[in-house]
Parts: sequence; structure tokens; C-alpha cells
Amino acid sequence: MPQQQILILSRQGYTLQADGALFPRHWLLHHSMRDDFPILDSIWETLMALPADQFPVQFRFVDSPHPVLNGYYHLTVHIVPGSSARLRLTIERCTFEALQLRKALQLKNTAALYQQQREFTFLSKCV
Amino acid sequence: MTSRKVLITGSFAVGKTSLFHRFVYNTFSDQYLTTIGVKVDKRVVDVSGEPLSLILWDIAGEVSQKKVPKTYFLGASAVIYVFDLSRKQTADNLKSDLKLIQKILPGCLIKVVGNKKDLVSEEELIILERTHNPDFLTSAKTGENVETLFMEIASELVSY
Ligand SMILES: Nc1nc2c(ncn2[C@@H]2O[C@H](COP(=O)(O)OP(=O)(O)O)[C@@H](O)[C@H]2O)c(=O)[nH]1
Ligand SMILES: [Mg+2]
Repeated sequence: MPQQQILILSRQGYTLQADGALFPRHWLLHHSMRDDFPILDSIWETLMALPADQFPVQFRFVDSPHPVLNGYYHLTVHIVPGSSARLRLTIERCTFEALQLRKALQLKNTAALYQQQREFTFLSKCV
Repeated sequence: MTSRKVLITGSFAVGKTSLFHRFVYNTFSDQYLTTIGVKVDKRVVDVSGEPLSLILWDIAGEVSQKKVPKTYFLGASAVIYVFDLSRKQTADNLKSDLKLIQKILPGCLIKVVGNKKDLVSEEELIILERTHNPDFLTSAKTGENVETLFMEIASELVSY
């Protein structure tokens, strides 16, 4: 299954051009990326007004609640110089990598959490 | 509809995800599932008759905010800084973290929250309040003060 797609987005967040086949074209045609990824929607105005030198903007391991897009994605937003469509979005599926990372972090954090909780119990007993 | 982005940050396992779930879905789980990356969801609230969409960003916890990617702060109107009332280490970096956030987002609304109130005694709470001066003491588990926290943020953001 393809893991990456590059999209040129209109100012409303619709796909003008797509490269790669992570999501089928007919589907992209009717979807605003702002609806599909609430994370983009929540900063859309900020992205539209962001100075060119602040790009690219990247979000790693975005947990998507979308019923069709369920999983994890790396999203990278580039600026398109000299174009009326301002943004180019790279979507990279990383669900497998995300679950591996979570497993490792889960072990590390759980151990640290128990350690800190023990210290707390110990201290409160001393007081 | 007007919307405002609210970032929830703080050390690992302090209850960021639990506060997010309590407010957005009104659920709680005792099981700890580490967050990786970022999850965004929203809830529409009513502020003096007007709807306001609070868009919450729940991010992976870092011991030091220096490790939190700057892009997470993009366009945020408010930041909730959570520490765990039952683990004093989680407030160790409070002062420097707040300074850093103020530098990244000048003028941004910041609320300091001591969570897991249900795990500490009244005596301990008094000491903790005096030491860390949190804006809210919450329990994602019982739901205590969670609604108050977000509703106060919502109304402050409207009048901001
Ligand atoms: N007793 C109690 N446990 C809580 C509370 N909030 C979170 N927890 C627990 O603390 C652990 C970490 O919570 P989580 O929300 O994943 O923390 P995060 O890493 O900051 O997102 C989980 O086992 C939760 O069930 C609370 O208010 N009271
Ligand atoms: Mg979490």
C-alpha cells in the first residue's frame, strides 16, 4: 500500500493536484483537508498568514480520528512560492511506526510513573 | 463559528489525555496509555449565548518543555499546563516552562492545573497550593473542576 502523498491545496483546503496514491483521486476531489485533518483546520488561518521563512511546518505522529483515515500520519506543510494556491501538503502514513514507538514509550513511562508514585507514598509516610 | 485553539501540555502521565477525554467525551479510564505525537478534537461550548468551538490539542508529555516542538504552539490562544499533585517532580520545571511558553506565545492565556486532586489529602493540597500556586485543582477521574476549567478558559478567550 502506498504510504505517502503530496497535495497542492487551494486556499480553502481542497486538493488541486495530487501526487501519489495514498488516497484515491475521486475521494480527494470532494474532500477538504481541513475537514479530514482537524489539526490543519485548527491552524488554517495561522498557516495562511505565516511568513514564508517559517515553512515547512511539520507535525509528526498526528493521531487521526477520521473514520476512513484512522491511524497516524506525519504531516508536512510547505509554501508554494509565487502561486495563488499557497500550500503543499505531504501526508505520510506512519501507523506501524507509531505503534512501535508507543510500545517503547509506554514501557519507559510506566516504569518512571511507578517509581515516582512509590517515592510519593514513601515521602507522605515519613511526614 | 468562532474557534480557539487550546494546547494541553505538561510532563508525562499527569493526566493531559484524561482531562481532554473528560471534557470532550465525558469518559475516564484508569488505564495508562501513553500518548505519542498529537491528537486534536473539539467541543462547542456556549459563552453567554454564543457558541465557541474549543479545539484542544493533546500532545505527548515531555519532562522539559524545551523538547516540545515549537510548531505545536502555532496559533494557540491558550495553554493549559498540567502537573500531577501526587508526583511533585512534575512541577519541578513549572517556572522555567511557563517562562518558555510566554516567550513562544507572548500574551497567550496560560492556566496552571494541578490534577489528580482525588489522590491527595486536604493538608497536602494546602501545601501544594502554596508552593505552586495553580489556577485550578482538578480530578479527571471524578470530573471535579474540569468543566469549570474549560468554561473559564472559554469565557476569558471570548473577552480577550
Ligand atoms: N486518580 C487519578 N488518576 C488520574 C487522573 N487523571 C489521570 N489519571 C491517571 O493517570 C495516568 C496518566 O493519565 P494520562 O491522561 O494518560 O496522562 P498524560 O500522559 O498526561 O496524557 C492514567 O493511568 C490515568 O488513569 C486523576 O484525576 N485522578
Ligand atoms: Mg497523554
